Amino acid sequence: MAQSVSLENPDWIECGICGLRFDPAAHIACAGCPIQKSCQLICCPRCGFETVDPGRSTLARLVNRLLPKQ
Amino acid sequence: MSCHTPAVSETPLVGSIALVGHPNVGKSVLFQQLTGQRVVVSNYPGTTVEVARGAVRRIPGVSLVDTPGVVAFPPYSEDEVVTARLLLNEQLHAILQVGDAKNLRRTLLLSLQLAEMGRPLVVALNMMDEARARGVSLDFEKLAQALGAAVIGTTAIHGRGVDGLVAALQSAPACRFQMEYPLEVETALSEFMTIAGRSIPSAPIAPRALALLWFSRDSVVSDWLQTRLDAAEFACLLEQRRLQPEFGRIIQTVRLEKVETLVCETLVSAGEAGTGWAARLGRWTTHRVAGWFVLAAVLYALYWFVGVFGAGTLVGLLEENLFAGVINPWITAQVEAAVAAAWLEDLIVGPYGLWTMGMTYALALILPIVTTFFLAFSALEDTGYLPRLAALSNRLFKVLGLNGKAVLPMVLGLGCVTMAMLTTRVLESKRERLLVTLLLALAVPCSAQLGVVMGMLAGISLAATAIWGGVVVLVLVAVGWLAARLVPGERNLLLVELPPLRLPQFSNVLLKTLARLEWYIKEVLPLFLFGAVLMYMLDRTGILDQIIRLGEPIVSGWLGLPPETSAVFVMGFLRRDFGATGLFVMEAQGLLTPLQVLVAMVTITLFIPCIASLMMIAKERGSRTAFGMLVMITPLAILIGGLVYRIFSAVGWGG
Repeated sequence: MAQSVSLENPDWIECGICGLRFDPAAHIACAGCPIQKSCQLICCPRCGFETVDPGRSTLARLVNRLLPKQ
Repeated sequence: MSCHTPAVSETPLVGSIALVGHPNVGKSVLFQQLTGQRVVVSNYPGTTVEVARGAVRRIPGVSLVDTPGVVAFPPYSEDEVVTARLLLNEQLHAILQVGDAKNLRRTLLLSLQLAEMGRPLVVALNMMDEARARGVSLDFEKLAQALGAAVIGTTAIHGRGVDGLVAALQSAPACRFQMEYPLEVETALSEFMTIAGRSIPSAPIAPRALALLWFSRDSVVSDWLQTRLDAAEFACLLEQRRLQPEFGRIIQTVRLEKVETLVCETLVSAGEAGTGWAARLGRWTTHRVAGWFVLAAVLYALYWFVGVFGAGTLVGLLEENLFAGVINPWITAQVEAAVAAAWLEDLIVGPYGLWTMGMTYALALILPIVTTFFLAFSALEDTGYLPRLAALSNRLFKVLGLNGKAVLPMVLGLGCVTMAMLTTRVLESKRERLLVTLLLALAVPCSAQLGVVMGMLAGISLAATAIWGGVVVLVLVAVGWLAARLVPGERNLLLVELPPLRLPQFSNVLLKTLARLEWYIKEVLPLFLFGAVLMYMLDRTGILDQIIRLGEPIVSGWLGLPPETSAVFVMGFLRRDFGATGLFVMEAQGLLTPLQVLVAMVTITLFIPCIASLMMIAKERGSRTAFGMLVMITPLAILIGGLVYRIFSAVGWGG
């Protein structure tokens, strides 16, 4: 059964180059990479700009918990 | 994938509607609005890509297929291939394109391709609420007339516009839209129809659209035609296409021009033409004159924050006061007391020791610099300045006569050169891909390396940073100009949507900086430790002395540097920033004059960025090309470094 999808999901990443908002968990292009498990980098599916996914960083996740929620 | 459901068959379903659009424009939300909850999700045959199907609630007997996101045709990813195959193999009642109303140019580029397919088409311009909030206003009627298809504004998440879509889908006629291409393309399209027309009478899309995709080298269309034409007809088409390698680019250029015309005719208000500070600054950033001043101001701010504050103040506190003053003497004393073997002591705290070189370089010298640079880069990213930089540098590329598409990999190189090399796949010709890879390898430093090099040069003066930047840009422009002369061809337009300029959000900047720092430490620390061990072994075996002796005629004779700089260049082959840090230490020890630092930094910047990028060149372009680039770039870097030394020593520059 289909799940409700929010277009304003706070976990989505906005590409710094083309502005595309995308779900970092939805991309399986890195599945074959041997260092995928420890990799924090993610590429925009539209323009290819590589950026970090704060959701995959232990440090960023830790600090995110301390930040006041909006 | 649901295990209860059968795999999607390629057997045509009578009366299905294909939901097509870019990734993340709200297709799935609209799919839910139109179908409700009765959805069948399964893998497309032969792929891992999931396709959802459901009955349209208000159009009996018609099913809706939610296709994977597609940027444009020809397809480049598995997702796009699945969508292309669906459009070619399904008996479609209509195509429903979902587009982002805020990104009209990109949406219309796909609309044109879908309209040319000749199926009934309805365009849903989604996220209208966000577009309106940004001040975007459109003439829907005019756009519908131009495309020959219904155009409906929707806000799928709130169900707005869905009634209009259902009504339009029920009465959508076959799209009669056709664009006029240059005469040579039109002639080739006619020839295609003559050769293949008899064998594809019941093609699911217009034969003209098939021909356009064929000349754009669409692999899905190639496969489709190969199974339907006899061998002689297919060979004839192949020969016809082989003689017209530029057609894909010409077709794309005509479409991009059409998009611009449509936008001019139908966009009542673009939204960014406001009068607030963000709108004004946003316009300045891409202005042909003011844009360069804004860029200069951004670079100057970077220089102060990264160079003066990061490399000066923070490194001073961390390296000189904490590491050199407290931590390193203490660790050295502990190791000397605990370790009897001289070689082991040397390996840990010697000149090329794991601690004294590997850890100290990574933590005391690099960390403060990259922290400030990543903070600044994340802030820039969050403001929306980077796409404007792409648009601005496009003007420079236009002057050079280079392909507009080449701009993106070059700007992406500021994030990571290795990944930017991967994105050169979007360029049409092999020669273009090769040239942009060469420019990336030669003169585009990645974010981390840019931060370190700027930080090091700021320790000398602003003039040194400006000269270094000037030389690197000059080399980039000269090589780019030469490349454009060697590779003539039509220039493609660059399509970049500019998001509104805004103030960076503190939490975004902080989290991205922390994530980048964690990634950098994970990647760099092992490499620095490996580098330290390598240098230690080269030193212990006497090979380093040999390298220094052999390199002396070039390093001292041509570049005017102390012979020991050869060791730094060996480190620079591992990673530019590792070598740059070595230079920083040499300067701190009083071994280099400001001119020598500048010469060494220019030389090391023009080297191949890192081992990873060299491996990427080998993977993408072949090991022979990678070796060729290494053989070409290394002497060129040394040649330019030597020229800088001679020119600036002749004018008596001393920092």
